[in-house]
Amino acid sequence: MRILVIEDETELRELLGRALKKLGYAVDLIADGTDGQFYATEYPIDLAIVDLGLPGKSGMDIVREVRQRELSYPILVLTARSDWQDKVQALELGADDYVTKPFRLEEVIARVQALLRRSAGHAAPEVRFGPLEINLSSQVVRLQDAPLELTTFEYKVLEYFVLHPNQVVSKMELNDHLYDEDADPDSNVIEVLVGRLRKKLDPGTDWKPIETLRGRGYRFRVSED
Amino acid sequence: MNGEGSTSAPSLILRLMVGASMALLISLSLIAFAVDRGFRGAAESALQERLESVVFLILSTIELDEQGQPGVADSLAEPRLDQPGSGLYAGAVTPLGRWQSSSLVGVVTPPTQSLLPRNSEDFRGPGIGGEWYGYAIGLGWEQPDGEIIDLTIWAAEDPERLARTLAGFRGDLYRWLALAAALVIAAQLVILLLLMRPLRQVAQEVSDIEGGEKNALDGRYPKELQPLTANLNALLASERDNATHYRQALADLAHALKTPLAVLRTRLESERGGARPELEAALSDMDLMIRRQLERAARSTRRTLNQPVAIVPLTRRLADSLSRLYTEEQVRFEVTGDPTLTARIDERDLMELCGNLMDNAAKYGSGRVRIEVRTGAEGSRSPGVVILIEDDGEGIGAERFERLLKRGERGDERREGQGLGLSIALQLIEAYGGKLALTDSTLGGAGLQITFPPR
Repeated sequence: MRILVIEDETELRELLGRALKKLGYAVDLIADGTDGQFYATEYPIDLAIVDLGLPGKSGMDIVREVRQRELSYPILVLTARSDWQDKVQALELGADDYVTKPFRLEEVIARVQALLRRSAGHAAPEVRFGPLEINLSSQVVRLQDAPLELTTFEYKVLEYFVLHPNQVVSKMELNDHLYDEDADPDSNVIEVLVGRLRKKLDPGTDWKPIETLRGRGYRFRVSED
Repeated sequence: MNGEGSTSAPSLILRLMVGASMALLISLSLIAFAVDRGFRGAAESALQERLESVVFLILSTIELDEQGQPGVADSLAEPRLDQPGSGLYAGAVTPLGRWQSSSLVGVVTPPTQSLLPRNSEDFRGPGIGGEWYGYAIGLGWEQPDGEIIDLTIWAAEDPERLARTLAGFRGDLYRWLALAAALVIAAQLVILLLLMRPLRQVAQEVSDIEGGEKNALDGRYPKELQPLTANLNALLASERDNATHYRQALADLAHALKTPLAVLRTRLESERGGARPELEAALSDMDLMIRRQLERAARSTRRTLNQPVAIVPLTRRLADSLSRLYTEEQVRFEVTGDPTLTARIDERDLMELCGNLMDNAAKYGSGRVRIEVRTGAEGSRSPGVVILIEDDGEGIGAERFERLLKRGERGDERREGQGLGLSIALQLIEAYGGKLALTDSTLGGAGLQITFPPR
């Protein structure tokens, strides 16, 4: 999943970026409002963390612009003011949640995970597809009730499939959402990752959730239990 | 603030009318006195001239016989002297006899005249040493034998005649002066009402501004009032601008203060082994202190003239926002009440206090929050407002409620929670003269009732 962080305070931006990357998210870090709006509207973002007090364009302007362009990914607002009027204004413009500064990192992470989950239509962090059970909050994956060890990128691919079930996902899309702007992965990395994931999910059973659609990409074909 | 309870001073129109009427009354009385005096003087002068002409008429016809007895031709040129009781009398006196006009026949107390020294004259009247108006001259009459006899010829008139003339004149004078006074007072009233119209317009426009229907005085005003209206507009604009600038400055300040705190906190958490509790506590204290100071500073941005804010739409906006924040908890908000009910409270403050209490209700309830807005006590200008916020949680209990309010006041709260939210709400409610009370909730949990007084 790709997360955009727009925060003008360098250290805070870097700390947030590091914490999110550690959890396996692709993170784009932007320092000012004008660039932030460009990224927020032109890049395939899964979630944006937007500070309200930004140089260039304000956070409110960015939220407004994103929603005006009918982009529906969740937006978490960081605000220094705890006034309800500011919170209500941000929420009415289209923000999904807010965190008041000075926040705890774990609080921001929890909100990010909840928003991503909710945007995929899951109310609880635990999602089950056939023999597969995945906790989107703790990132623990179990297959047939046994823990399944996945690398960070394998988990990221699986999480993306799980949050977009029964949808055609192109390699390009996976690439865009799993890697941030600075990364330049090999063209066959996605194929390798999907191949490894298939082996782990299908250790001799008939359950083959990842379909290959020639020339189009993949589809995670499941029925949610 | 608006002088409630103090008695209002008499109206400007009443003051001006009383003052102008008094001045008019005094002026008209002086005019009446002067005109009356002038007329009386002129009437008396005319009377004296008339009596003199009568005396000279007598003098031209009088004869003294050998014994010195005066006598006048039977018929005189002045017919009133021959008409008994006509009011005009005349006579002549010598040391040896006297003559009186026929008009004195039947007069009960006739005027009398003693002999005057030669070459003298005398004018008398009711105010000047007599009961009649009388004129007399003393002279010497030479007899054919060369003897000179003292002769006094006199004429008199009944004062009733002059009194009647004066009374008639005074009647006319007072009627005309009264009419003039009435016209002047009516004209003054009309002029005053015309003059007061711009002032009434100012009052109406200020009331419209207070009512939120206008932002400035935009009527056409006379030159003399323009400095006042221009200054009022400038004051209103500056108050509006100051509040906006001040709020923006506070937002910038909050950002400038809290972002470094956020850096510190995230850095502490990122360190190996997590944040040290004493540093974490110090950070929380700093955060709380900044919040309190910003909240205190925000209070001074309140405007003098608060426009009425519709409460139900505002609480619905809050409920919609809170529903998004509590999506997972599936909190259901119900807002009931007349959507036109308003309170004269800064919108930001009303949102803050309702937001805090509704957030608490959502946080501590079990999925249902009910907000009821209704009319409170009647007032002379507008009634009070009651806002009831209920939840279906475990409830608070009177003792805990008091403790929470005090905890917020003491400021020893380390964690943002019910206490701080409640205490901020209470401070805001009290700043507008309202009350916060714990009541029973129809949903079974806590019920908080905000009461704003009537105006």
